[in-house]
Amino acid sequence: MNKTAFLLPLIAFSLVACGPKDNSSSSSQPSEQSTPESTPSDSSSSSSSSEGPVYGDISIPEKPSASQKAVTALASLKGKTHAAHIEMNTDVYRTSASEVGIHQGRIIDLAHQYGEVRSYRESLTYTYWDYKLNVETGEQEKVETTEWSYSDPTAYYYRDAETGLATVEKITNQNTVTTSWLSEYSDVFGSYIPYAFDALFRNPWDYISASDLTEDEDGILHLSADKCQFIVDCYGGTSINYVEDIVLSLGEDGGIDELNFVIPDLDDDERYVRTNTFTITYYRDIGDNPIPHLAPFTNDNPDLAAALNCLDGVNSYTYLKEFFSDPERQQRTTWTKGYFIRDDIAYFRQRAAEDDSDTAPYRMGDDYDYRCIYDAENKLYRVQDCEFYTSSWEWAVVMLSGTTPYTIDTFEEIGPNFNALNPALFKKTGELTYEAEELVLPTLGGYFDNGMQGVHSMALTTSTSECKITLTADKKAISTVDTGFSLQGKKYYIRFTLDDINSVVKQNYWSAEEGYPPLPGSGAEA
Amino acid sequence: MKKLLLLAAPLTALSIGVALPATPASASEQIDYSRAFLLPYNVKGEAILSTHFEESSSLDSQIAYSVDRDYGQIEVDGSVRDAVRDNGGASSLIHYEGLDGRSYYDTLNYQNKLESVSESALAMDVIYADTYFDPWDYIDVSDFSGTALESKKAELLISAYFGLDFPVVSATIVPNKSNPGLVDSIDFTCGVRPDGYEVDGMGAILVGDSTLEVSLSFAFYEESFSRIAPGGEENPALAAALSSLGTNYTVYLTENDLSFSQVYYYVGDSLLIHQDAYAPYPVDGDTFITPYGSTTRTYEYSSSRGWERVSSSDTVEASLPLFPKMSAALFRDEGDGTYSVIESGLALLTRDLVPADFGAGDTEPYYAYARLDGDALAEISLGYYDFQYGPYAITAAYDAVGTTAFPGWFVRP
Repeated sequence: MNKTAFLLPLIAFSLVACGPKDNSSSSSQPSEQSTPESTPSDSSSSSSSSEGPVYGDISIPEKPSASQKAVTALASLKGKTHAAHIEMNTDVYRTSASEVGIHQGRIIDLAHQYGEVRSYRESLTYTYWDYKLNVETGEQEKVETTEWSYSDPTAYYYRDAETGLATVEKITNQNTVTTSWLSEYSDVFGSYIPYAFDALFRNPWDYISASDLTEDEDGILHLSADKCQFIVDCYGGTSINYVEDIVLSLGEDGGIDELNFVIPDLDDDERYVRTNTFTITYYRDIGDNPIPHLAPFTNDNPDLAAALNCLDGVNSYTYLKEFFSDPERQQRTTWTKGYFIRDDIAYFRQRAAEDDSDTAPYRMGDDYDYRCIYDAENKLYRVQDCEFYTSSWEWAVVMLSGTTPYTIDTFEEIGPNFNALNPALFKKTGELTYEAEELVLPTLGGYFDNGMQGVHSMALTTSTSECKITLTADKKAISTVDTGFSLQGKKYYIRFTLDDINSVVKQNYWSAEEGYPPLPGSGAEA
Repeated sequence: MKKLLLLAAPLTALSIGVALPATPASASEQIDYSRAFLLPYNVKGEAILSTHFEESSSLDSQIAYSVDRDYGQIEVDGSVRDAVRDNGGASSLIHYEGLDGRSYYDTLNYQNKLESVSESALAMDVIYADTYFDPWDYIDVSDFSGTALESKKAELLISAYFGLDFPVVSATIVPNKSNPGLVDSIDFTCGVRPDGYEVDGMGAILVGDSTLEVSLSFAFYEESFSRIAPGGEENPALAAALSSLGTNYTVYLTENDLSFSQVYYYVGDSLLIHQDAYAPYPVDGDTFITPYGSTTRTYEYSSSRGWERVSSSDTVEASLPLFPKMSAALFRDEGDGTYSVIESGLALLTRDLVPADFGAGDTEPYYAYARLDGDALAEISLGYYDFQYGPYAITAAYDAVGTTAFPGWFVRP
């Protein structure tokens, strides 16, 4: 499936009839130039008659017949709502140790819905790594350091009945549904071109005939070879060798449960060997309406609504962002603590896990200190970081470009902006806990992250894998938010902790303009 | 490829025009129009993609796509294979499915012998069923309602014939008057597709209306086309000229666009290959092959070391360009001593005839001709077209037949 999709806004349009040009005369006639070895059965057919060619006794062949088993099998998926789990792997093994082999794996979970709403749902996970030939053992060894993967969040597509174009629906952070054309950018035309739904999201079984399914002597159904390639194409197979055969596994009802692919290795003049595995499992009992049009969530969360607005108008707070290597959040790796004081300063301290001391400012290794100093005259915040120059630690202006200093317009933009979220996007899971609805999960983590660059994790804005909110005991504010994301096959776990609302005590060195700030471990405080 | 662009806007009102009604029919009466396409057939057609921008007509565009293709079957090595023949262009290539599923095409080599060539694209083998599939193999009786063809199958036709994906609102079969099971043409009604043109590279989008006008017509045959036939003209004058070159001649090979040239001084038992026809002195890469006992010795020239003997098993005969070995039957007599290579003989000429030094690879010429000067072969030329740089030619010009001697500046090593 083409995954490089782009979206265009839906606009008003009308359909027009654009029938063929008048081609009823010569265009349907064979010409000597194009078909020198063959002519229609009746020579009069070459005349330019508006009646079309006149054929003689040309007989139209019968189509091959199909067995009842094939008819039943095809009927289980043709035009029927179903889901499929697809796993495809391509491994290229090099025969020379100086060249690198590759593994590409894809897992696709998809569903086709028919009926009043024609829709399609898909999620995809992609994995990759290199192989290196071990000359001594002859084994192809996986190069662990090259392994990476990514997952696309589940996407929902719909066929616009009026136009046949594909639309994509999403739920916004304000719990409203948006609908857009699904489009691809064309380098050739320099424009975004909407997809036709049926061209992009083909259920291959809508295009296969029962006569394409042949029964062997053991009563097992096989798909004809040319249609095998079509199956591969419809399910987005790339770098797949020629598929020799597909064997159908049928359920008790005679419907198709699994496809087993027979794919010979491709041996390219001893330079490499390419092997493929490809399996498909179908789920035919997923209900009539598994992919309805999206609708706003109806979760009623008054406590959460209040808590999401707990920072509105406050004068100060602290916000701790901790990275963990385990989902239980026991093994901390790094942390960043932000101290926010309105119309004054926001101070960020980023440290390695072992360094739990509250000392600052300094910069060493992965440790950084940042601050946003309020410029009362211009009513904005100026971002600086702590750098070591020659013999002293000094605050340096952070530049967005060679001439543009990094400034932030408002106090609210420095820290998290979870007040932009509609509480209905979360389902209540405990007395004080709420978890994000899966449909909107991928983007929600970003709303709980700091707004300032340098202390912001971009992956949370697109690849959030969990988002669990815990309120304070009085339910008036957020206490912690557990989020996480996956990047190149590795999972990262983050906890945000909100505290000290309207009670942050400013440290003198936060706003020092120059001099020799305390070195790490000196324990210097206000 | 650009980054993801997310422009969500509320769904606005849609209006539709008149869609062509389908002719209702009961299942038992329904004609299966796809059966006709089990016969060999030809499809001709045109698709015109027009885009109009209400706010900026300077962006309006119109692109025409065309198809003229025969679908049939040919016999190769005793088995029948699915095949297509694309008509038009420099040659009418026949592509067919190999027993390994790959796509092959038929062509004649320089000796007028039929060759099958495995097709590849982007260093990958082309799978026949992917590239040349017949869309009617994916259509059956359940896709028709009267003469109406289901829209997604109509979209498949447009995709297969023109390489375009465009939504179809309706498609109506126009049956043949004399034989209603055959299809003369299809009337398409397409939608309006809102294409978005990025105006400034910053995300500002102008939306234009794209429409597609499609015409498709069909002709059916009882017998398929067959494999290409070798050239049949004897061309005795050309055959005589090719064979009369003998074992003493000079041939200038030039590529006129890059001004790259070679000269072959062939004096029977020895050969001097000079890498610059315009240099009256030895240049880097010059090669001299001369007999040594029952074998040969090869020398190469470099400006820093002079002539040096190199290890090579190449014979004089094997080092000569093969232009004179071309079959005269591969040509068509155009008169006035000019003979053009027939279209089905063009595909492999570069591979077979042009020395690797020219870097031409397997590029297919779009024409080739031989010209006689009286009874003697004057030149054989292959013409190419580069979409960036335009036309150019590689020409072998023959001279001093029977009188060739090594140039005066050459000192035998």
